Amino acid sequence: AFVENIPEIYILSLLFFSPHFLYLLISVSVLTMDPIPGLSKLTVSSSKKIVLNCSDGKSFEIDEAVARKSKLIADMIESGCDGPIPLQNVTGKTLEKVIEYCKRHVVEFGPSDEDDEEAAEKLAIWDAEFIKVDEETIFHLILAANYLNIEGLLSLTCKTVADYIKDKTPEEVRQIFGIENDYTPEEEEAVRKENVWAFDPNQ
Amino acid sequence: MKKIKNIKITQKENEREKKKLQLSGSMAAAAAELPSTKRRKTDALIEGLPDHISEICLSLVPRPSLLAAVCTRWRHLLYSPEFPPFSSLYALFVDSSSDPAPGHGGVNPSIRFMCFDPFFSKWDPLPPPPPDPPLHRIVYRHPSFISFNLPIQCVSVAGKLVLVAGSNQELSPAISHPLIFDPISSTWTFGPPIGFPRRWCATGACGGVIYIASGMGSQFSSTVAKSIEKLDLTDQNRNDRRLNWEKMREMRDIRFSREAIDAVGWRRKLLMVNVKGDAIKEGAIYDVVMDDWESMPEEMLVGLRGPVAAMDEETLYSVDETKGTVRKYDEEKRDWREVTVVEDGEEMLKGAQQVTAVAGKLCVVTVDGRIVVVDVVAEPAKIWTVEIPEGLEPVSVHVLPRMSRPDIS
Repeated sequence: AFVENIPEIYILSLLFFSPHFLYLLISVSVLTMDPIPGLSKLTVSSSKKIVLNCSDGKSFEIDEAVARKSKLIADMIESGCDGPIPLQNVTGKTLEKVIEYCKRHVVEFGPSDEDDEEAAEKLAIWDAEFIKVDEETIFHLILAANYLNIEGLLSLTCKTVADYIKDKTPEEVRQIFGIENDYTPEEEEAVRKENVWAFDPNQ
Repeated sequence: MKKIKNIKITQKENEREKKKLQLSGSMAAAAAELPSTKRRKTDALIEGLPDHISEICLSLVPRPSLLAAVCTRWRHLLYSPEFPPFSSLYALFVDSSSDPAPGHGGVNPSIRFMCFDPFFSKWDPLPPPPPDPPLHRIVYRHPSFISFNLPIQCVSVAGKLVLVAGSNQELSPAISHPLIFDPISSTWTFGPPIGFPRRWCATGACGGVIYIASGMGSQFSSTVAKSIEKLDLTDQNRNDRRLNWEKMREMRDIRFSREAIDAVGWRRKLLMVNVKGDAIKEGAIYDVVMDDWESMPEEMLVGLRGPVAAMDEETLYSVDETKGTVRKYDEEKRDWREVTVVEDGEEMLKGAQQVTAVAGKLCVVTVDGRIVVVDVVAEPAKIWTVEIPEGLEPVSVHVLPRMSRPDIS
């Protein structure tokens, strides 16, 4: 017996059922047993940073939630990658822009942005401004979005290229993309006729 | 408000972009600097991007005629089965120059389905339908009917062409199972058996569902004359449940079986009249949602003086068979407004027999064998004819997705 005349059992039960002990017990079990998948990670690491190293040596430290916008990076984290993540196919300048996109598009806990029409519109306006960059940057962004597997950014950049094409003439399109005209003069005549038979969807 | 903003931005951007084009860095130069690009001629759709991404970009450009004109690689992409298909003109022809099939009394022309390719400017035949032949059995001219041709009824629905009714030599319905052509896979299949196979019926489509109403079998029967059945072709998973024709609520009277009629799907309703041409008509409207029939308002009926079609199933256009006038129905004011066409345009439309309306254009078949296209978006509406192969007589025209052609270079 620890204390004279009081059986150990009473001391132990006092200790066991005290609120502090219970709290300790519950926290430990929650943190170790992980009843909600990922909850332990979030509660413990809501400010966990991920370091990304790009091809030209620059390093970026960002929130894990932001990094996870990239499925490539999210998969790496899932499979236990802990240290800095090397991204040989992306330069610092491009990655900076990509991170800017991911930061704006991170979805907080709670109702998603899509449910709120006003928020969705604001986001669309932000996207439109974000994508006003030169042609070279758009190409770099597409390739980065493809490599990093960021769905939203890939859609946005592809749509931008499509919008860029749609109001041009065939000759202008060839000029922009450096495409050689491989039509014979007769074929070209047939194809370039004011294609009255074609039922283009958007008149 | 949004629309105006977009237009302003595009105009400014267009000017900026034109300057950009002239000055500097085309994307080609940019692409050439990318580490992933090798500095040599590639077969890439867009240099500097992997093909699967270029395909995504190009699939978002809503102008197939622009894409086709750039180069042969881009045109090839337009015909591949995975790429969103552009629309083409299809026509059902009869070949009056062919020899009569043996065993038939008198000349019976053979039926030809063809598709007009806008970028090669030529008519291509569809692959042949299954040999178990409704096609040979369908009769266009019959000794008992000297003054006109027997109808062959086709409907375009859910991106497919469906042959649904015709008469055979014995003047019975030639088609018991609809023949369905899918342009994307370029294949013909048979649909489920029609409840009451019929001829001289009203057929049409609404919301991807094909309807057959009224008409007759070999003999007149009031059951058939009042009946309407439908087949839902939008159902993607045919494996899950067997597609079948479904009988819907009967018509109230039986005066509809007099002629073969193109019923028009318009705003969740199916519109039809009971006779063509100048005779006094009766109209009927089948409400697709309520499964019920209603009479056609007089103000609508009065404008149906020839073939009718609905653009996007939203706007009704009619072509006056006698005068060639094109009219558009104003829902709110409940009257028909004349559409101004270019000079002498109406002359070309006289004798209109059938019309289909897609993407701002009306395609019309006239009784003297012409296919005429009316661009109703332009003001005044532009009109031109489509050249038809020698010896072929058009029966009906339809607009559907183009056939996939992986062989095109």
